[in-house]
Amino acid sequence: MMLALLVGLVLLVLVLPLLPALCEWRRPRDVVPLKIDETDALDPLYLAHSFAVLLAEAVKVGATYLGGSDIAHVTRGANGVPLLATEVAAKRTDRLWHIQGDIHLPENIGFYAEVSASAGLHTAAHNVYRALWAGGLATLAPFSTVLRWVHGRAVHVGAGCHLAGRVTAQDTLTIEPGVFFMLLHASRIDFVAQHERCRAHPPVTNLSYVAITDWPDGAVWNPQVRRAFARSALQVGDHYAWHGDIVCLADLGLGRYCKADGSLKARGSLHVGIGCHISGSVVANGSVYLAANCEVLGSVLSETAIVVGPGCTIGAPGNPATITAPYIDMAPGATVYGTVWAEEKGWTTELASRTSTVLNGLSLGIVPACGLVV
Amino acid sequence: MPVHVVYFGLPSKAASCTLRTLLMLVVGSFASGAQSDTGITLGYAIASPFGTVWAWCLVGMMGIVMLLLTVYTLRHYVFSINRLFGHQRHPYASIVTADWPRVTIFVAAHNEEDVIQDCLENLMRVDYPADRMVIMPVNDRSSDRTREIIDAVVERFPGRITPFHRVGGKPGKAAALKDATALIDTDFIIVFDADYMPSRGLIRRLMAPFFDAEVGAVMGRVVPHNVGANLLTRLLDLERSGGYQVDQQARMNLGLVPQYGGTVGGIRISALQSVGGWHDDVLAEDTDLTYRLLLGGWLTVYHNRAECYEEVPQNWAVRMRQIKRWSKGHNQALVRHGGALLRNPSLGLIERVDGFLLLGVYMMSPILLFGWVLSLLMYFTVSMRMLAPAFLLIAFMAHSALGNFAAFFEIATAVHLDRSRQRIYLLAFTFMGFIVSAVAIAQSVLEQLLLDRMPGRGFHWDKTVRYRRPVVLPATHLPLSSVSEEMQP
Repeated sequence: MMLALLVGLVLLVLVLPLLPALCEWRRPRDVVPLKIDETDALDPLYLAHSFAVLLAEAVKVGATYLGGSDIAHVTRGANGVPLLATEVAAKRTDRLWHIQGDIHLPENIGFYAEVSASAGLHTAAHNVYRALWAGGLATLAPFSTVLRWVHGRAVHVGAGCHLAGRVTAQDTLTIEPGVFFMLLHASRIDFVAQHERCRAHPPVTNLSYVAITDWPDGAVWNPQVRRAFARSALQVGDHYAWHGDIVCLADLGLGRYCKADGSLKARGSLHVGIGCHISGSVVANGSVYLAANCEVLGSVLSETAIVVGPGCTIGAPGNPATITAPYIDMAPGATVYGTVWAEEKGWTTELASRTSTVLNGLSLGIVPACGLVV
Repeated sequence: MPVHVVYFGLPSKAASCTLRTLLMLVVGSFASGAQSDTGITLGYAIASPFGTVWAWCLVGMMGIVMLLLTVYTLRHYVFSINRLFGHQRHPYASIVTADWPRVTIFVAAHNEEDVIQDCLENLMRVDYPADRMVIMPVNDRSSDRTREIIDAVVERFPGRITPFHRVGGKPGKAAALKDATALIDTDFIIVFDADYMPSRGLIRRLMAPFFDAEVGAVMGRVVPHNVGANLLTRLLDLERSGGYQVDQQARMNLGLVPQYGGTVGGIRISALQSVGGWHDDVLAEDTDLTYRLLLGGWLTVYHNRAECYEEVPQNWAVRMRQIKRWSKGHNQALVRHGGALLRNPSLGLIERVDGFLLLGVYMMSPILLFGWVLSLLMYFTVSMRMLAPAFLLIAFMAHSALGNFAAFFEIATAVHLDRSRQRIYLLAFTFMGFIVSAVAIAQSVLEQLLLDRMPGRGFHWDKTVRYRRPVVLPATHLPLSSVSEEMQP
């Protein structure tokens, strides 16, 4: 009897840890493959397009309710948004607004559901919006806050706006200074300057370049792969030109008016001097600094922060590019063809107003003189 | 039988020697003893009927085995904790808009009539610009309907696929890829095995890291598709999760050595050429290439969000053959590159150590089994009067509590990160998978050391069995004309 009890106990001790596994094996509850869903992450327009499709279907079937919100229809030619008295009193509306034609959204009302306008859409200053869709030009008045996304044929973002989600435009997106953003995407994104004195210096023409024959100490040129490889910090002088990539395991710096027919990579920080032309990508584990009037045809990527100077151009028409980093500081006067994706926070400010910008404890050392980033 | 007993004295020194003394206590506690001046008898006796040399050998070897086990245990924990609490690096995940470069996509196929059509059709649906992408099924001497099926798909998608039907030459994937690479004019290639089902955005994901001029190869994540087939596939699903979600990504986070896995991966052609191209005399061309790139100054990166479905083995015999093949290839790479890796001054110490540990990962199974044998031998032939028993007790308890479960912790971490819920209940059964793997790997190591060296016995390529149902093509999809043996236009 005792022996049987002992054997039973031993078996219990052995089997007990396996019981959950045995149950799951005999009665499987989780046997579907892990879901691979990347549409949202790979397509900046995904949210806006999905909304447009859902709304079109809802309107087609005459639905009055979509995604948790009542749909309010505004016909073409209507005089503003017919708000309820309770909404005016509460200074907020939770209805989804489907508007035919142009619309100027009223002041002192927060729109906490989507607003869709078939033509132009103009917000009021200092208001909060969940999401905005415009068939024409979407204009965000100064100090507007958008929680999820904005999409329009063209979008103009006023000064001081907070854009917590995605802002996308089919054609052009213009951003005034003082804007905080996460993701911007358009065929062309212009960061406009309010003050003339903060525009970039005019590009220098008739530049002459010196082909690099002897690379600085520590850099080894591999002609087979057309790549210069440096294990220690590397500084390239002014007006040099080369055909190939530079990979540097420490900090990399380019002087003024260099021309690289290739890409740059630094495991440390990467400084690109004024007026440089890079036909490939610029990638760094540390911070990337693009001084005024740089042209980069490829993408710009940093695992720390990117500072783009005035007059810089990233990408080209028909040749889009991505700027991505945890923190991105775009100077007024810069132009991007493609996407600007700040994983933590991005902003654009007047250079004159930022004598010392601190990013996440990292001093970027920006001097007030317009166009100079040191 | 005479018993040899050896005593060693370890006189206590001044305080400056404390560290050394502690080290000797821990490391040498099996075999030596000392009398401390604090009056604690550290005890020291080692005896064996076969003599002291025998006893010392066993103790020394056991010490090495324990050291290795400890190192790999720590490695598992470091990786898991990094994934749970550390800084996560996905530097290329946000590149969504770019002037995408031209790329050739190889689909390696040897008798893949059951699966090749799915793979090619999935590639037809990817969102990479069609004019920047050349799809090249590399049909390596197939004797089944693979060629017929490829040609039918080519006909359905005119101008999109450029098949390469290889009818002769050296067998093996590396040899086939070598021949195919000679035919292309793009700067990048992406390789899939025929049982893989690329998702819509996968090619963009795999190409994004190549904007980094230092990157020579990119590896994506493999996700089993036939999870629900049986217990084995579910266990392999857990194992894959641990391997990719934690192991590979942690190496990426920590700046160590992510591994190019031979499929769901991209390669920069200039990097490949600069390190000598494909080596068709290796058993694991992926591991071999990873280390050649590393030694050649190129970076291999892992992209956890470049996920692709694959088919995993559904029976244990197939699984054992698969893992034996991987093990032999990996160990071959260890012999080829281990020394060069450790001696390479241009790599950081951590990179070298991690790279070597990664190379040696398949040696741990035979070492573990060897440790079990050693412990039995020690139990029966060596008598020790344990010194500092507390150290041993603590070591034993620590290993029982942590060491045995390091790999389980890694899998649990991966499942948690994948936000799976119920599959974690199967965790206890993964022990079974480990035992099977350990036996298969140990067997392969023995074969490699002894049998494979015998004359007339070379490595036999064992193709992994596929389980998807064969494709039944409509008559209109059958090839209409004969095709040449060379590359098709």
